[in-house]
Amino acid sequence: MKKVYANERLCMGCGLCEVYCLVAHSSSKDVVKAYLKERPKPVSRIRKEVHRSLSFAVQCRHCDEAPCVEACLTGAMNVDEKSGAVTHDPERCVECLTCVMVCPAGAIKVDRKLGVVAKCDLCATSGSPVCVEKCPNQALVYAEAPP
Amino acid sequence: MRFEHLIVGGSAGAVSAVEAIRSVDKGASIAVVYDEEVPGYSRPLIPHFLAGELGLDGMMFRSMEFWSKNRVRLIHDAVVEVDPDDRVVKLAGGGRLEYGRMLLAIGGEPITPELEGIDREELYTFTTLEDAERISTRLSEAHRVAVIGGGFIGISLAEALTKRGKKVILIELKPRVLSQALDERASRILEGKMAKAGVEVLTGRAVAAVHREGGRTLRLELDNGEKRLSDLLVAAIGVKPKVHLAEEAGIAVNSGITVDEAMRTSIPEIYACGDVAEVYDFAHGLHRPLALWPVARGSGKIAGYNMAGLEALYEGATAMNAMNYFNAPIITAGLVNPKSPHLVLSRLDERGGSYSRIVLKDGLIVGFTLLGEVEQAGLLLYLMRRRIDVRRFKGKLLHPQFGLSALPQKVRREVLWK
Ligand SMILES: Cc1cc2nc3c(=O)[nH]c(=O)nc-3n(C[C@H](O)[C@H](O)[C@H](O)COP(=O)(O)OP(=O)(O)OC[C@H]3O[C@@H](n4cnc5c(N)ncnc54)[C@H](O)[C@@H]3O)c2cc1C
Ligand code: SF4
Repeated sequence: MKKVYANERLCMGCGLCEVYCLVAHSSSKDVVKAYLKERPKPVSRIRKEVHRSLSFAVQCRHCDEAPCVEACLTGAMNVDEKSGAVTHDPERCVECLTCVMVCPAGAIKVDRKLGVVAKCDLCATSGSPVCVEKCPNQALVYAEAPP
Repeated sequence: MRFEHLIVGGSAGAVSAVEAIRSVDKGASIAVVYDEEVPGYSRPLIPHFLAGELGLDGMMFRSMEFWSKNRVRLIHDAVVEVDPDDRVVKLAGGGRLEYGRMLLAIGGEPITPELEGIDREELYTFTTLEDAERISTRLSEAHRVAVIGGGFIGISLAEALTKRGKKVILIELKPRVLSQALDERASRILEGKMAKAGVEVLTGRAVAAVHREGGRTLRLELDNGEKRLSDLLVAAIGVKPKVHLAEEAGIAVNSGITVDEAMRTSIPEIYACGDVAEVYDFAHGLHRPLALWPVARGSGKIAGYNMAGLEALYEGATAMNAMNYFNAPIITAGLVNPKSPHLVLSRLDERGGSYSRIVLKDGLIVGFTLLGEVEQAGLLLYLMRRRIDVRRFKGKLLHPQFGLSALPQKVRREVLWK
């Protein structure tokens, strides 16, 4: 299936992906309001990592046989039968953190204010991941295989 | 009646096995025998049910449609005898079922303490939906509740009762709560939060005797002579695998049912998974029961695949727990209180309310505890499970920004390029 892959050589660690992800998952969809006004503050589902000269962004890997789906206590984590993407239903989530415990990518964010976890949904509503669209260096690609 | 696949128990392990069998074989006949009110509810959610946060709908891990959609014959009964020679089981209701392959996904049962001066019915336990309902019914007149046991279940129960406005006394025999899963400092942080929420935490104490005080009120006498009144007494001192059915059938049993990596018992057409079985603990290097939801799901899936003829092996797990009670997110795994010399790294951030601790042996992570900031727990568990030598980036492990970027490219790609 198509996933978002980071190209380490192109990423400059600017962090815009985090900003756009947060805004895309806010209720106002407005960067100023999302950062300053919205309470609880929306959570970015992508994480920029920087270590010495290396940088890249990480989000849910939508694994086959995903460990979070297997571990989830409530059935909130599921696999979309059509696309194969791992989906999360905040309505069913109880913030038990069992999925966080088993995610090797550390890609599941804890939203303590809302009492749920949050993760990349590949921008399911728009169909096109905003982190990929907005990355100024094309360091993120939405593709069938790693770059 | 005969079924190609007969599954006993209708919980985590059973659900996974049904899913796995159906993913391989659309046509085989499957029956599930369950003996609780409903199959497919999530046991770990009973504290949320008791707290009044979830109704029965919210508790359902799989809806009733799940079973019909997967063409599973649901049988509400209990298996009372297994006859492996004739491949037949007897039901409490008098029926008999023949099977081609059978899975014992029958879980565990609560351990109850021996207490003098009290009838069995007055000592509650907390492992099933029915237990939660029974306790809930009593709460209209019970205001003080004593919980025996400061493990995960006892703590989850204490939180639920606190949310219902009850005065909770928690009595733990060991010098601190969660003494198996946490180190001393983490235990103390949690105890502090429990006390702040109004729970009276009595550690290093046991109930010596129980007396009737009048009505349904009990007077508990502790081993140091102190006394406490309680309107309701619940024991949460642990669960043990429900092995008697297997034992009587001549299936090999240790502390749990012994199985191979395919989850097959000593009788080839009988499988076992979840809380009733022993699995490989990779942190301790031995087989033992691990009563955990993800283990039941994972091992149930492997059992299902093999029952349907697809070879698959269970890679094992370890004691690993995520919990989020009393406003203390905690994830802990593996060996956290080492006896022999191990290297222990720890970091306490009192202002940020977080505490991290990692136990290393010969360059490998063998255990960790994260409290407060827990998002990187999965990566630590991965490094531990894959036995990745962390010496080269040891200094980074406790850094708040520790992540995949600190790892060698090969390991990083394994995770990122899945
Ligand atoms: C209060 C509580 C909180 C928990 N919280 C967590 C948590 O946060 N994280 C976690 O990882 N784990 C947690 N657990 C553990 C988790 O619930 C179990 O590991 C999991 O449910 C095991 O699944 P299982 O399918 O092996 O067995 P079970 O869920 O025990 O199901 C076995 C079923 O088989 C039925 N059965 C038994 N014998 C027969 C028979 N002869 N005939 C017919 N049916 C039979 C039983 O009645 C039961 O319904 C918790 C447990 C409790 C009690
Ligand atoms: S935190 Fe939510 S999604 Fe994660 S395992 Fe718990 S209920 Fe499932």
